[in-house]
Amino acid sequence: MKRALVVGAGIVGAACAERLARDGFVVSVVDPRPVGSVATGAGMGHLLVMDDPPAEFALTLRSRILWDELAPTLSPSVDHAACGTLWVAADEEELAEAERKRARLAAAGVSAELLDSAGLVRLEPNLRAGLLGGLRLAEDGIVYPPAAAQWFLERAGATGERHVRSASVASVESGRATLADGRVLEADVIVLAAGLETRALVRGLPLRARKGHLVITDRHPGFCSHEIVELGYVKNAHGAALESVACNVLARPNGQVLVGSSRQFDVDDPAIDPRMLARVVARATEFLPGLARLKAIRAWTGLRAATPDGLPVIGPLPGASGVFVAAGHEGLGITASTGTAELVADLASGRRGALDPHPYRVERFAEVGHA
Amino acid sequence: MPEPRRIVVDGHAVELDPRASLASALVSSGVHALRRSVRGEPRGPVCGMGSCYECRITIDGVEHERACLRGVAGCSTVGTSAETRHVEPRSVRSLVCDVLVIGAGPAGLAAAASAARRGKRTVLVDENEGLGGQIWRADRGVESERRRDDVRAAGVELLVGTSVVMPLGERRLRLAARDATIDARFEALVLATGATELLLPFPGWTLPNVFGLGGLQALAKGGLELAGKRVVLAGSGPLLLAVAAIVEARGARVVALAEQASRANVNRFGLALTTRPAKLLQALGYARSIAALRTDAWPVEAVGGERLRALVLRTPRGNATIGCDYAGVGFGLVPNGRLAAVLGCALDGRRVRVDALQRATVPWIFAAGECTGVGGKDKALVEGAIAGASAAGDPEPAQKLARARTRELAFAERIERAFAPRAELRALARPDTIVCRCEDVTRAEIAQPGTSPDDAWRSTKLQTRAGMGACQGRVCGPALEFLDGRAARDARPPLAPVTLDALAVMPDESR
Ligand SMILES: Cc1cc2nc3c(=O)[nH]c(=O)nc-3n(C[C@H](O)[C@H](O)[C@H](O)COP(=O)(O)OP(=O)(O)OC[C@H]3O[C@@H](n4cnc5c(N)ncnc54)[C@H](O)[C@@H]3O)c2cc1C
Ligand SMILES: Cc1cc2nc3c(=O)[nH]c(=O)nc-3n(C[C@H](O)[C@H](O)[C@H](O)COP(=O)(O)OP(=O)(O)OC[C@H]3O[C@@H](n4cnc5c(N)ncnc54)[C@H](O)[C@@H]3O)c2cc1C
Ligand code: FES
Repeated sequence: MKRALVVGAGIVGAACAERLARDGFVVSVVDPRPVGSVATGAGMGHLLVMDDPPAEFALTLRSRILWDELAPTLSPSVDHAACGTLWVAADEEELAEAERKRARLAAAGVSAELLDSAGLVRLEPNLRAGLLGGLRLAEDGIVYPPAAAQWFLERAGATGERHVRSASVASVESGRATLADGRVLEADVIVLAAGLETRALVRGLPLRARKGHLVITDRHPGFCSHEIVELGYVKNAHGAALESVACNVLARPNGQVLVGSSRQFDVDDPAIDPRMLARVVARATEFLPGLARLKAIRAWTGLRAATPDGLPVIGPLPGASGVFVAAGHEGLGITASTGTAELVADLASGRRGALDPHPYRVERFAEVGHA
Repeated sequence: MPEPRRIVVDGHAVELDPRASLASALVSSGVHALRRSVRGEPRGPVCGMGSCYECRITIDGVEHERACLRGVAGCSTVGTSAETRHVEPRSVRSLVCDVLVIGAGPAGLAAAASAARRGKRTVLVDENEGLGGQIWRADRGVESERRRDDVRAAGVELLVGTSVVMPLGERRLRLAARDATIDARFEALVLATGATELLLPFPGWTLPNVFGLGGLQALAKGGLELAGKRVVLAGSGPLLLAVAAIVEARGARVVALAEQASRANVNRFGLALTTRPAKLLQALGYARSIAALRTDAWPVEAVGGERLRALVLRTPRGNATIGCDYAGVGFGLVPNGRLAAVLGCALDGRRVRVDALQRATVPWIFAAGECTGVGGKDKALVEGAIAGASAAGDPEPAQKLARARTRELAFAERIERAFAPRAELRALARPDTIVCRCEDVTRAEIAQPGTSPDDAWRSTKLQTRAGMGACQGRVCGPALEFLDGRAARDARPPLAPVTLDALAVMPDESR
């Protein structure tokens, strides 16, 4: 019987555990903190296809297909729904971008609907007047991330023997992981899915913290129904600016509205920064003026794990056979957890799968040495 | 009664007492359910003091307002379901003072007067529209009037109906009044944020007209009509008798009075009171109710459909079902250290840790009253006087009042020991009993904690959404801490739900 050890019970680790269990591995998971309580507990839970760059497109599209396959089996607590994404254009340049996006998506067989100003308001009456149009991806979805992580772990247990150990891994080498208290766990396959902290386990792995602020409201059913994102978001997410905000508003199925989002490089203090919070809320309110009268009940922050080229790190760790890295998903780890897990499982079993592993490989960063 | 005020409730005109709180007036007029829960259950006010969020209602176009914090006089249209309307955003202003006091109960009143008398520009903030806190809300007694007069005479500036939103860094807080976002800058901060009630889940506790014990008192003080009503009071502590006296004075009939503590503990506490003449007098006022008090008795179920019809009590002689209109059930008080925690002050359990000057572990923050440990009005007054002076840079009252303070702290400890909730109360909730009222999470859904208390609370929240609703764990947090040791101490901004316009304002770095 083959054994797998997953380091980290965030959504990426949990999805890997589930996928490896389906391949017949007996999987155990170690994490010193509660399931899904770090980046996964902070994320919005939007499942979206990003059409550019190509490797991000391939990963998110494959992931969305896998989410759709899982959908009928997910537990109700995962709150999976197809809310759709509405990309909103405020100016001519963004409208042109919407058209380019549509064309790229169409070329890969993904349907997306271009909307004019009136069409936009029909779908989301609380958007301000005067927006030029937008693009709707009706099949994008939403989940409640920590419950999804828990569900993956339970499923992993259903096909193998489930172990989630409350422990911290100090170092790994081929076939073994050493815990902080000195104990050693042995496994044929080890997956490093410790989120941002994977940088402490893999020497030279160039992960940077990218902090985000979010606010959630009380239940206001009917205020909006899509994930509403300004097209400027792409510039922000992919840009290198130290600090940026973009309108990113998500309607949860229960009527709560999640308001985001900000990006700040290299800030790892989890405290709420009232200045960033103000920028996030003000930006979202520019697009949805009615937000101003909704009741905010809680604000929080989370750290995304960013890589220099914006793509996650997925693949075998050079010099340590049987050890795989699955980290660095920045703002797309909830979405990409399913595709990542499939890729890790394919690599661990030596299969050729749906994704070309090359763009995500560890050794694209020359500095990386085995921990 | 003065001219009634006509307001529109769900499209129908209703005449209400203009002096009453909206929550009290609506319940009096027969609107017992102010909202529907996530699963569609009827819910009405519980705490009467702004912490349970069960009285959320749409007021003049703003959804999820707390009806217990609003006077009838200030409302025109009220709806128990959502309604969309344009609302003017708040104006923005700044406020500079020497001492900012949060909470206008006995502790805050004493602190504000004490600081202002020492020449400090002092501002007193409270979420409630009136001054006086829990004990003196709507009270026009000699002592409370004198305390209110003191504050006015000392020149304290009042900001009522105003909530704290979040810290803006050192010595700065954002506040939200109904019409303004206020960024305050000050030299010293006094926290006098009081306590909330320990409300424990039992079958039927979510029915409208099952209130907290202090909750019923607050609603009564807010104008709930009680004449001829049958009331059951249950739970624990000196508040039981105080509430009995108040509801009887307003014409209600107390049909049962159940104290969960043992007769021996209650007697020992009574003995302790005789060493404190002022408290004894207070206790004698309750003599009539004392005779009716059953000890070793507690509620096991509330029965009803759309609202309460009867409360089942477990007594040493078996279960008794007691028909009633209203029930007040509360198991003691829990210090309210939320704001202190968000400001980075150390807590001991839920108590804000202070030294002899009432200084918290953050040097510019002082704390007084129930938030440093439950001990009643006299403790609050002494601590408030010390905290206000210390915040104004005068250490002398801390020395002069040191003995009084020690005496009050000893009293507080006796209360805590005598009325500690018994272990049997942990088993009241059945698997299908709702524990988190905001998100309708049942006892069965909340598994037994395996790891550390903080982690247990964190995973309970993440996996079940208990504690994630509007009240942010103010009710289920202390309950789960008692039930199985989860440590719910993760308050975050905003400290009270505010409309998003109050978060969209950039803090002015230059001020
Ligand atoms: C504000 C914000 C909004 C977001 N919104 C979205 C969104 O809408 N859609 C989307 O797809 N993505 C979103 N994301 C991104 C997403 O949340 C992350 O990419 C994803 O959660 C990463 O998951 P993970 O499992 O890699 O990391 P984590 O969830 O951080 O999990 C890592 C785990 O590893 C554990 N660990 C760390 N060190 C060790 C060790 N030494 N030994 C053992 N265990 C260890 C940690 O305790 C943790 O539980 C958002 C992120 C933020 C911050
Ligand atoms: C429900 C209840 C009923 C009680 N009834 C009695 C009684 O009948 N007799 C008795 O002797 N004792 C009673 N007590 C005990 C009572 O708390 C003390 O006797 C005394 O009132 C304590 O004074 P305090 O100033 O510490 O707190 P409180 O009187 O509780 O005052 C705290 C004040 O702070 C305000 N506040 C808290 N947080 C914020 C915030 N973030 N922003 C703005 N304002 C805020 C609250 O609105 C409140 O007005 C009761 C306590 C409670 C909780
Ligand atoms: S009754 Fe209004 S908040 Fe509890």
